Amino acid sequence: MSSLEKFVSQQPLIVHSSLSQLRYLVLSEGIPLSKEKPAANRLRCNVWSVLTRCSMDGATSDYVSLVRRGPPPHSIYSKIKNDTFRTLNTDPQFVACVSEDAITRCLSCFAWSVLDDSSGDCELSTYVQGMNVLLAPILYTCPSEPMAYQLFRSLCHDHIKTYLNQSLTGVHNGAKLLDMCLKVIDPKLSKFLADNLLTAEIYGIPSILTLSSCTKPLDQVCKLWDFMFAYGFHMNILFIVAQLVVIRSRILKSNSPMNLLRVFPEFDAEEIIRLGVGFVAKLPSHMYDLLVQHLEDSNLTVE
Amino acid sequence: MSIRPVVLEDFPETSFEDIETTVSPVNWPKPYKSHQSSPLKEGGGAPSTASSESTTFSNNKKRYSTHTESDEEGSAFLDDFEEFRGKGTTDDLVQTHFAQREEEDGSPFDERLEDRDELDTLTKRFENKVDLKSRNLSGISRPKPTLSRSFKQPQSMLNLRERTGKQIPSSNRPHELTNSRSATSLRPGSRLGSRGIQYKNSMPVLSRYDIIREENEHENYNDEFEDDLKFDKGLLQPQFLTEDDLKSPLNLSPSQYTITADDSLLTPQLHKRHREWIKPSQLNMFREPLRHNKPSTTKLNNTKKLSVNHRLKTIKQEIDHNTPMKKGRMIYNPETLSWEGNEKALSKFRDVDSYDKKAIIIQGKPDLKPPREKKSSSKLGAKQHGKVVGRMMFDQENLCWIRIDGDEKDPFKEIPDFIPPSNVQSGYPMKGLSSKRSQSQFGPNRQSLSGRFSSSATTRYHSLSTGPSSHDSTFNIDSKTLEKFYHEENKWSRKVGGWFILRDAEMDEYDNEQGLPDPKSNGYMYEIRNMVISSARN
Repeated sequence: MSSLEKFVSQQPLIVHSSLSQLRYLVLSEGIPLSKEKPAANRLRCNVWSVLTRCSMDGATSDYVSLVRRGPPPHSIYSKIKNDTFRTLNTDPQFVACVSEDAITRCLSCFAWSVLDDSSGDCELSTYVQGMNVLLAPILYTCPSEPMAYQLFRSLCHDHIKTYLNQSLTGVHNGAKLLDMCLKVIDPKLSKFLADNLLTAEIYGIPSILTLSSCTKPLDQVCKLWDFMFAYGFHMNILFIVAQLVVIRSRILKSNSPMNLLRVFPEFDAEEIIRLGVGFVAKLPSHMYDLLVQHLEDSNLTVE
Repeated sequence: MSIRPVVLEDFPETSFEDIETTVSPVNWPKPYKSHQSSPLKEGGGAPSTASSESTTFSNNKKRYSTHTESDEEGSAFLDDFEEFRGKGTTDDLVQTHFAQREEEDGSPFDERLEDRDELDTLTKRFENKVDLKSRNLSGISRPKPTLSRSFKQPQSMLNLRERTGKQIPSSNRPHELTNSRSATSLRPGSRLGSRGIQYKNSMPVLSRYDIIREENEHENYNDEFEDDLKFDKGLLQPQFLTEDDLKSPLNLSPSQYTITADDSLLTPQLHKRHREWIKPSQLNMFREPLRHNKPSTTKLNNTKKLSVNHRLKTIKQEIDHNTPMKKGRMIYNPETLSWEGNEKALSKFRDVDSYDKKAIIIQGKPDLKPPREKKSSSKLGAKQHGKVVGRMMFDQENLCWIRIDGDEKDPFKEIPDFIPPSNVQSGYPMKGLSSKRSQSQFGPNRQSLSGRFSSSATTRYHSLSTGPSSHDSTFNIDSKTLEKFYHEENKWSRKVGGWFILRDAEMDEYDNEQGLPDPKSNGYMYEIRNMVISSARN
């Protein structure tokens, strides 16, 4: 049993202090990747839920009650069904672990929950393309659908709510921030891409919206998410920059860099995290503030 | 115990020797002489001798003869016995036996004289019964009871014989008179001849011997009884009866039965004792008719039994599964292996089970073929096939009760039922959902502040098939999966539930006052920056 697992199993004396310790453990030790999927994933799921302050209390009953309602209205359901079947369908490990039905149910339940909250001030979309991929690592990690749904819901509502509103303002702000960060971190590469009219709005939206879960491999995505669950999903922008920096030589040499950027190559989570954390020091504080705010403030305008 | 000696005397036939001597055509006159001159007479029958004799008699001829070496009559008796065995037909034996008895009329035994009249009448009665049965076996079968008795007092086999010749000592007479009277009465009846009186003499003599009496006093009554039974079946029969006789259904002496049935012939003691002797045969006798569904016969037979015997026989019956039994109004029929007598009560249940009748109780048989065309709202179809109680009828398809007449009113119609108004409009009502499973024991309540894992109202909705789109398997979660869901949730609760403390407004307020960071604030998003900057400075 790793120290992280022991730590998680113990009831914290002071929650916010223990959370900091847990974050540090995630950063320093990481959540071990076990070959036995359920064991490792259960720990990861537990850590994720703790880090996001997402309680699974009553998750099953909530989920079941939503599933009972069947598919959401046709306009939503058709969009969901249009995407579910191709969710990471090139990843055999994912396909083996997660059924399309599970994705459909979770997305439908999320749609129902959004519909239920429509009377409130919820700005979330019932469904937007990319949600299925965003859901994929969670379903892959969580031992049960209700927990996955709960975690997904917590992620969408509490962490990246600006990404999932009607106009995806957070995603577009994220794209602008990606360009800005890249310009600060790797001016040469930024200039190269700009010269090729390649802005983040063109190549970066999928990775921004899906929190890099569209990039293979999924296990590395999960590791990346470990860190982001611990220190915030705004780090995803910096991780995208890191992915660009990793392949910068190939991009700079490429005649058609868009072919490289359309689908990011497989990555190593630890390398990306190391690079990304290193970029933090290079970013001016106001830019870091924007990174944090772009996830929370849908009215934020990044110039 | 006064009963014991009496009991012994109850079986005058015990004088097995008597029969033999009587039966033997050649030597029958001899015994009388020998009786009178028997040296054993004076001996009084030592207990040890008596016992040894009995065994030898039944099993070993040679030994028997050696014993009787000193006794001429004894050897004569033996000869008689052998001759008897050599005889092929029982009829001859019986006839000669009776003929000889007739000749014996002038019996020298004084004590018999007083019973003469009575004996004559009894003899006639008995003969009549034998005639009715058109059987001459009575004479042959007689040894049987004799044997059983001889077994009982086996010691006395020789002594008995001798004593019969002894003329019965006067010293024992008073005793004999009281107890043997019944025996003497029995004799003539069972022997079909007045001559039998002479042989009866030996019987009372038996009882006179203290040896025998003492021995019996020490014995357990039941043991005696059982031993007697063994003897009847095993040892003695083959010696005197041919196999045919043994196989004969009447190998049990008819006289035996007759005597038993005729209580007037017996003294109360004899009556009682005799019944017990005959018990096995009696059981057989009433077992046959009962097999043919005549429980009433049992009744008749049983009612005859006296209290003690009755109790014993009841035990027997219960042991034997072929024997009809009666408990209260119920009668056990061994043929059908069932109890009879409550048909009326059972018929009520059959009525309930019968499909056509509208039972008061919901019938136990499920409707295996529910009509497919039947819909939840179609009352006619349901009327034909559903269970009906009063005005309500069970709709087997929707598993709910509906009214037979009148309009069906859904009392839950106006209750929004967990779907907010906006969703109800979207056209996915929850009507018609079948609740496959109640999970109220699971599912902690997230809304309740009282406890983290208390069950909530929402957990009552746990059927997973949907109404309109129930054909879509996507939204059908089987119970096994559902169980897994709850299982995992419980696991999560055990593992990291401690990280989550239900918070209410007061707690939040307290945290704010203390300046504690909101766990859900974005403060953690700066942690990494702070770490990086601080490390860069260093």
